[in-house]
Amino acid sequence: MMTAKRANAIRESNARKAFRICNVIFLTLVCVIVVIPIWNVLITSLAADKDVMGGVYLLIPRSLTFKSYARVLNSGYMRGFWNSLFIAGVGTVLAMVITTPMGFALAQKQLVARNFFMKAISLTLVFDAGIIPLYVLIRMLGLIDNRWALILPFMLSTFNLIIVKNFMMSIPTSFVESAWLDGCNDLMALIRIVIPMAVPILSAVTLFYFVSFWNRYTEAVMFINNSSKYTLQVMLRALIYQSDGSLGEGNIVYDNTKMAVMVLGMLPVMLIYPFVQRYFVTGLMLGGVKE
Amino acid sequence: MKRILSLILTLSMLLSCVLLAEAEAPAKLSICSPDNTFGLSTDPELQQAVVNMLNEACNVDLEAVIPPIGSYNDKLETMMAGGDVPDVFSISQAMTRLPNYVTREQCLDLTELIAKSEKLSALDQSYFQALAIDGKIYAIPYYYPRVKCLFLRKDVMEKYDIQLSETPTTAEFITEMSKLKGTGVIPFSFPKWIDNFQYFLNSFGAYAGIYQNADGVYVDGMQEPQMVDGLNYLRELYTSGVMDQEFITTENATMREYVYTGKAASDIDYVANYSNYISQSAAAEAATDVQPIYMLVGPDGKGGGLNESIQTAWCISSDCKDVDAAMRVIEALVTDPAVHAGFYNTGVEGAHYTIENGVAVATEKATNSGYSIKYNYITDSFIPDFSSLPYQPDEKMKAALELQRSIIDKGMELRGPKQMIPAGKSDLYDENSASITNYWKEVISQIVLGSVTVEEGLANYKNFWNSVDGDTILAELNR
Repeated sequence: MMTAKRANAIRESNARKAFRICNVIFLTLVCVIVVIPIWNVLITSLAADKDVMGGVYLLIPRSLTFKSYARVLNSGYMRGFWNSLFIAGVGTVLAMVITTPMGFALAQKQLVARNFFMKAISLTLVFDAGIIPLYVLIRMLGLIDNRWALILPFMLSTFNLIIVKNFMMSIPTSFVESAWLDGCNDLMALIRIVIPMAVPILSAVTLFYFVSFWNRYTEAVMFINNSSKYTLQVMLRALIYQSDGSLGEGNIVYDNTKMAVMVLGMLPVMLIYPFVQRYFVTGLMLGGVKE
Repeated sequence: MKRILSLILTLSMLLSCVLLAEAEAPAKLSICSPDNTFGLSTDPELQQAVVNMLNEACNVDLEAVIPPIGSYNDKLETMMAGGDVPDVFSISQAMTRLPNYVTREQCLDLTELIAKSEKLSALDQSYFQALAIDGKIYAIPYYYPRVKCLFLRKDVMEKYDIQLSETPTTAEFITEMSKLKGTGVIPFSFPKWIDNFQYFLNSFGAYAGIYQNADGVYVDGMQEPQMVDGLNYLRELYTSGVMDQEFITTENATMREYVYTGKAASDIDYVANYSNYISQSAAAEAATDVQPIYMLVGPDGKGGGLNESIQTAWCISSDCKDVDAAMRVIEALVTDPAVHAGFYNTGVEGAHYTIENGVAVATEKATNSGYSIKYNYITDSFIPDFSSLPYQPDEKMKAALELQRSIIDKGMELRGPKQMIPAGKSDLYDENSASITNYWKEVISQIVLGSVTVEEGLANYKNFWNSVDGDTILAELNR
């Protein structure tokens, strides 16, 4: 029986075997490079104060305590966490509400001045006005020190829009036309036909939006004045800088507390990723196809 | 008739009440300062407690903008460029930034206001003059000039028989610190900030950057002959293994932690941070005292501590609607013991700390955000007496602070030069000063790390100097 199995197996050449081994070694190395910093963050966040002093890079736990997490969960950083969650959550929902119909509309060949709109939108990929003009705009809109200043200007990403549009162009027009024949208007066709077919790309783009809203730092510092409205990223950076103030008069915050805040900062994205992971690669590949 | 009369009376009473309320309403002001102030906590609620304290002490209604210190300058400059100059704002790196703000007419001339202020005019005016531009004062400092020295762990000195005075020679420093080679202890930890090398250059009478020499002539320090000796010494510090071989990636916090934990024997730090070494080495279970080395005496008897002068100060916007109220705030921050201590270090009783047996103890909420009680205000500020505060440091800390005071005095006495080039004297310099500074830092780091020799590095610098028309800069400055 065993002999028969061996005989049926496809023979692998030595070169192929060597290639496979090299591949495994290379990919393992890449994984280790990616995992080590995350492991270090986790281990350091669970270490005692004295074990993280002196610029040590912990890979093997020296102590195990949840003291840093207890500190962080009962500190002002939680306010930053909820602020970030609000901005990322509301921002992502609104961004998807804008991006999806816009992508659908731009995918329709019969759309009047479609090329003009696409060129106008693509221009924003090339030119960026910079932070000061954006600050002036936000100020004129009366949005300084308002959480919506971190949502409204970033509700549409040209890159994400192009991915969604390209995906929707790959959906055969006959599906949409059938919907029209069945009495659907454009909105109903989008909701009932196109969106269910576009779940992979929409999942990927949702994650993109969430991460971009969650990680937004510069704009949060520039547009928000009241520190009670700061996002977690701002507070995290403040924490890191505080103990390294060149004047040395700041608080001495140990690395375990900093890393515990970092874990808090990574948590939402790490929790969301597994749910959209299965659509992620498919979505991106399909979005890259242009009819 | 009676009805009309009573109506008029009621209306006039209401009107006077409204007017009275308006007259007594606190002045609305915006204030901008980084998050290493406002009670040294990043917790918004605790920061608000400090704002409330200021409101009460100065009869103002403050809208506080408290950006993270790492992005403070970006935030302030964006606000300024966007037309939102805060009424009262703190500036850092004042020697380089203030001239720009003054040129853009964003800072109010405070000379007369200081003269009128009883409290501010009583302070040593030389500190105000350090930041004066064309004889006018635009910024009010709140601490003594910052000076750096070397701190050396005394337990390491004893264990390895390191014999160094508080002002050893450059040669003695290398010889004695070399005793630590092969012991696993880094002899001298240094941060990645290249401008700290000036401490060693002082020993050779060298100065990195453009400066006014003894004859009153502006020269470029990188092209003066003594710079060669200074750079050779820096290189020797590195090649002899005395200086941390990984200094180029070392943060200030890491450098300090190396010394707290005993991983390194010495480092370079502000004289006012002495007490941190006592408390933090104890926290790291490696308790020790540290010895300051104020300066290294060079072959010609020259030397001096690293003088960073006054780099942080308060300004008032030239658009400020209520200058008197703004001055009240600055006066309180600079001269009122309770406000100064609360704003720069300890925060507010009940929010940041509670008082137990006359000693301030951090609240749990404050501790969770990384806050701890700091007493730096006692030795840093212009205020001579904090005995009116309801809490005092414990005996051990008091002793350390007393010693710190004497270290600060000695550091001030032995500090090296710090030069400020006035803005507007040479347009070419104003345009190129940042790139000149960046380039000499790059050249010095290349020389120390051995990427280029001293000669090659200085030749590269000369090429750069010519490319920015450096000789014209000097000619304009000396005009």
